Amino acid sequence: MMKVMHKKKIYILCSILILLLIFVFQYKYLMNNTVGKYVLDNNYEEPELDISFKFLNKLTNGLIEDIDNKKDKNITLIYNEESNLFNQYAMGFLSVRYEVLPMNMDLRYKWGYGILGNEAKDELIDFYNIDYVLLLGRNTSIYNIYSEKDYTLYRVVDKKNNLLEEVKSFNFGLYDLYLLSDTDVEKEDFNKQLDFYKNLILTEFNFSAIDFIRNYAIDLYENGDYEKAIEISNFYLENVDSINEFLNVNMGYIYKEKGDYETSLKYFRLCLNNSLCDKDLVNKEIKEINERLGNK
Amino acid sequence: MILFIILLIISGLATLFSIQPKTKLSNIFCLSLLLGVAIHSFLFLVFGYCHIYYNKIIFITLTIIMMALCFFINIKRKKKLEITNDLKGIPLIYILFLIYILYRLIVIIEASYVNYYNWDEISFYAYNAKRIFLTGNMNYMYPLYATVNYFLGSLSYSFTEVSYTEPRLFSAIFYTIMSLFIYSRLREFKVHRYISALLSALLLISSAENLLYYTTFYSNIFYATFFVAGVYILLAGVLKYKNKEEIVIGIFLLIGAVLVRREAIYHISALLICLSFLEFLQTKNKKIFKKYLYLLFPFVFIFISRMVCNSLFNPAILEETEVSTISNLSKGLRFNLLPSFVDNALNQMFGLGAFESNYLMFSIVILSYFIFIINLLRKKIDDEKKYLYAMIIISQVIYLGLVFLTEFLVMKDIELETAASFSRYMLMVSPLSIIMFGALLWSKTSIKLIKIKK
Repeated sequence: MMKVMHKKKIYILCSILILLLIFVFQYKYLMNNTVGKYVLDNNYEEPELDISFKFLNKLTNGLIEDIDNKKDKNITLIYNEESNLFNQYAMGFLSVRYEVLPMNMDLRYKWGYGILGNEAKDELIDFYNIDYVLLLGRNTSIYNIYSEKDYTLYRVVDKKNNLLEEVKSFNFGLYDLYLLSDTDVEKEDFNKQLDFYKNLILTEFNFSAIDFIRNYAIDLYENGDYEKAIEISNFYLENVDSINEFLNVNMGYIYKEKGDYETSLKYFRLCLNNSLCDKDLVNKEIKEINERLGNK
Repeated sequence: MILFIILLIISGLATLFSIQPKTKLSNIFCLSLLLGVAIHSFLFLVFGYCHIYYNKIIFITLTIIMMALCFFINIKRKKKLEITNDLKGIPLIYILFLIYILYRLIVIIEASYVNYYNWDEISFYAYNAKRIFLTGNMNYMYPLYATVNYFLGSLSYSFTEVSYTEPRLFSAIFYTIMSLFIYSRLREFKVHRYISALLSALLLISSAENLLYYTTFYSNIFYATFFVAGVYILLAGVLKYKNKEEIVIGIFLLIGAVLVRREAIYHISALLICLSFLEFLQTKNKKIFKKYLYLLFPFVFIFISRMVCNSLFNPAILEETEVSTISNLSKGLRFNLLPSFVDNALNQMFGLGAFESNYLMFSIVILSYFIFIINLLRKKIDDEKKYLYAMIIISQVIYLGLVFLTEFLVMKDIELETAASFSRYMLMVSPLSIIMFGALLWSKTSIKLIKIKK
């Protein structure tokens, strides 16, 4: 009997020891290697408030200045999600500004209206009762007027003939913030914002920051700012996704245009490892570059 | 905010004592807040039907009424309230760790910037709760979705101020409650207190993803706690204790789960059908349906309440969901997509990247199944526990099956390819597995395994 008791104690003791080891190992593992480490880390420095708020405020203050921001005015917000990626910024903007804008606000949805609120069909929107229309989301339509940017504010000019006049439009993204940075202070703020996102990627693998940086790199390329595009794309490819189907192709094109065919080939080939890559296009480019290299 | 939490706990205690006059200390700690939230969320929904804004005054009045009702019920019952201290000997170090994790989560919650990528939080839960609070219009409450979140959000705004951080505090509290719940259930199996404490503490740091999500105001968090506590208490009430009081508490908790996420109704229905079938197989009594009729009660109650909820609100929502489900079925269920889906699901569970850190949770789930099967083959588990474990596994398999299926039915395009939320769903399965894992290896009956025959 004593022997059995003794064995039981050893069994319990060993189990506690093993579990304790697992616990310590797991704790250290979380602290050192994972995206959630900052929750456990006492020395973790809290990130500064997302200073894109400053830009948002600049833009939304513009909105308040642009319109007669009175309680008896009516604004209809049409929110569209099906046309582009989830636009958290737009929703966050609404969420933050909802109580700040004193106007009567009617919120309508092009997508998910059953879940979120009222539908945004043209026939349901009566311009007689509306002073302003704010379209959120690209390619959102109202009476055959399509928005080109994430945020487009219209003033109702002719209530009888449903005529709208564009007041302001912009995209929610780093590139628009980049374009808006006129003064030195704003440029500094923008760089801080960029570093903030980069840091979030390195410390937390933050998906929001990943999206912003990738879209910024794409926007830079599309607007011809190649040097900056190379810098941001390299950061993304090194730290997030080395076989990204968009950025590798963009990099391939940039180096091709520069005449650096070897590097261009390297990026095009990297893209081929990605199942989402447009392989026909990339193979065509690789073939063309190989021909040029052969000619040399 | 503290007042709000205290009032919720008082409501929960009133409910708990009305159902179970002889209760355990662990139930008071673990279930009072959950029951309070479940009851008030249900009332919030009912008031929503009547288009009455469930404000602070109504909330406080109803809490007082609940207290009075509990008082009268217990006077009428002529039974003294009894609390058994089942947390006696709880390791101090575990309590300290629990407080530390809660403190860290609250620090992060209070300090965190507005992360716009928390899509569901920004666009659904916090956002609609804010709209309900600011406008007093209950129409903003989407009936099929997260009543608990809307209730907690709008009421916490009314007790404090409109901010992102206040409702998030509930996530942190629910996380520690879940750990304490696991500790108390392991102790019920007479698992050594230090082993129970270590296993419960392991849950808190089992995955980085958990730590991230428990600093936000997501529905998954509330669902996981309600679901784990509800399913376990219901199963243990039916299979282990044969105690109606436990079953009723389980039902209340499962109602809480249904009020968080709609998929709960399908899962609970399937689980209860399996449970009824098991009871049917176990007994040879011909009057089985009469004797075990109460088993159908929760199923019928929850199903009817859900259906009534759906029909009372905008029927267009249901039609829309039906249509999209059928069209998605043909779109999503394509065999060429299946390998990529499975591949992604496995990658999320065991692969590289941000979710690699979940390996401990997945290992415990798989190990507990494995140990159960070995013990079953060696006939080392007594009957009542055998059925309990079997039901836990069935419940988990049904749950994951449903999740797997809904990923095909509901998710589209990008989400279908990435199975983005699969790892998050899997984490809900793990707490029940921890109880099973601990009980199988360290409960007193298991220790008999190493007895040496003389």
